[in-house]
Amino acid sequence: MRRRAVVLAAFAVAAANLVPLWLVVKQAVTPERESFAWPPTWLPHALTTSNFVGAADAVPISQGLVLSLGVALATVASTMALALPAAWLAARHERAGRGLDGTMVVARLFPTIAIAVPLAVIFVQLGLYNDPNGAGLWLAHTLLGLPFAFLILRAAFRGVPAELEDAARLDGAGPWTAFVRVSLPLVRPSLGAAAMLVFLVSWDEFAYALLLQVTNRTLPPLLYYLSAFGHPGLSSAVAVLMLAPALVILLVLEPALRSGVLAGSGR
Amino acid sequence: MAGARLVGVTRSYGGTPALDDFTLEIEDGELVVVVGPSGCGKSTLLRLVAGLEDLSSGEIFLGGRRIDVLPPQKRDVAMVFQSYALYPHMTVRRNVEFPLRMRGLGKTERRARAEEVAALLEIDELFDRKPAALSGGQRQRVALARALVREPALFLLDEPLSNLDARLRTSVRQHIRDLQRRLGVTTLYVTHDQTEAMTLGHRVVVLDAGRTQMVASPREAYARPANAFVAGFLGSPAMNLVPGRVEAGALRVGDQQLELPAEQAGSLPEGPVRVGVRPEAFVRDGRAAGLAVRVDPDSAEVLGAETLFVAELAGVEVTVRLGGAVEAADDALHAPLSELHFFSAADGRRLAP
Repeated sequence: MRRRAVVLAAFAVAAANLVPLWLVVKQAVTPERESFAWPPTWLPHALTTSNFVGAADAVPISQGLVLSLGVALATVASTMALALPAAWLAARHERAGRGLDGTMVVARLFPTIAIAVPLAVIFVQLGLYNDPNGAGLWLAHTLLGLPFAFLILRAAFRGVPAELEDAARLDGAGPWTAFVRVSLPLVRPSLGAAAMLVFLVSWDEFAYALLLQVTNRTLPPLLYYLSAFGHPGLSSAVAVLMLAPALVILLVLEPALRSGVLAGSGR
Repeated sequence: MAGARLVGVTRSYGGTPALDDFTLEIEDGELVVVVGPSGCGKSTLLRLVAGLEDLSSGEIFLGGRRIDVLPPQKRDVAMVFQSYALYPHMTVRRNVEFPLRMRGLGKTERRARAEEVAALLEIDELFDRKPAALSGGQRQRVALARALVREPALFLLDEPLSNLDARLRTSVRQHIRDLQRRLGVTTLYVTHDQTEAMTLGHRVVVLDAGRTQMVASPREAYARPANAFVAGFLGSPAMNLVPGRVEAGALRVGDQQLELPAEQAGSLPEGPVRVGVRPEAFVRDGRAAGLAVRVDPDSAEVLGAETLFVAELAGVEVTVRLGGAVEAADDALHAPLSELHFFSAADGRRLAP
């Protein structure tokens, strides 16, 4: 009885996520008039690529795609470069950890949209506003992604016994080698998870993307415009493009991330 | 191979010393066991020698070279951790080869040396497994192999047997002993287990509250403990300690009074003393003068080769050990005067003989 309730609830949650997803995909590959058909259709009657072509004509899609990808990948790189040493330090040295904790929490405390406006002003002065390569957006997204990566990686490093690093030191490794050869491989699953999360944070980000870039736009604001100006078919086409990385992560990378690397270090 | 010398090694945390003025000379090829209760500073000692913690003061030499100023990887010291600290993401082979890899040895030499030490520790068949697929005893041997493979000048062992079950412990203990004697590697072995201290070391260092209580051969530490702490720590069951008094050349314990021989009376100060009696010191033989005990006949614990009894002496509960399976002990048991140890009632220091 209880088990059936759990299964039912799981189905309900899955449906709540998958039904809109399905409708977006359906809408992207059907002509626009079918989107407004009454009664609504569940399966596409006529397949078309016209929405993708139309979206590309209406807004600079390929440019937006390249910019979105570039900013997201650069954000992943910079966030990891900052979060890895910070998380290691916080996991190994309690006092440093407390300070870093505070900083990271404060960084997440303020609403993005409220910071976006003053940030835009600063970026204008720095020449980073509406940067064609999205440099300003990249910085903003790094700040946004950092706390997530930090918290995930700190937990991961806490799970790696400090004795393993000690053992590596005695086996002849310097501190850096001990980190790279022993600790880093052991947090790899968390590293992957953090990288994905940060990628999606940047890929999905709207408020900064809207306010820090005016002509060189990433995909989320482009989608917003198509949707706001009444083109459900065209915006669905962009939405499908934006779903792609999430699907790649889900299908290709997730199974590789199942943990279990730490088993057997100790007794 | 080299001897090691520790001079005035001190480590304080916020003013309280975890290890206080520790001085010890370890000879080349010697195995010294450092034993003490938890929190006595023995793990701190190992971490200081290994370079995982900094000294507050003092100096450490290894083979004539001062090492306390060097980072751990330059000290030529290997350590087996209590938790073994095997690298879980590497196979046994890679674990054992890791120290050689860090020294930049080529593949062929790495293989040869790893296989040599693996044969010694009988782990060659486990080479392709990850630590997770090993039993506790196997992990222990891999940890030993990883430490020994690079032939360190000094070998540190931190409670290496504490995670093994009792039966395995005895065989691994003998194995470590044989290995150490055969390879002749200078070794510092830390444990809280007095059996390991008694059986393994050329010498034992008894540590309590960060201070050295005694440095001696296990036999001497057992026979002539330097103070009441050492007396109570080494030996199982522990030495019985009962209050007594020396008055006018006689020892008074409870309501018993024993005339002390002249030379013994001369070396003991008048006044209160603590009298130590090993459980096995009690004999049935009624001739020699000694302390008599009243045995609780219902308390017999027959262990086969020996039997333990609870007895009463001067209002204190004491343990009596008799050889063989004894069903009931008669009342004529006593500890001869020559088997008694005397410690200062004030500071526990050994008084005589």
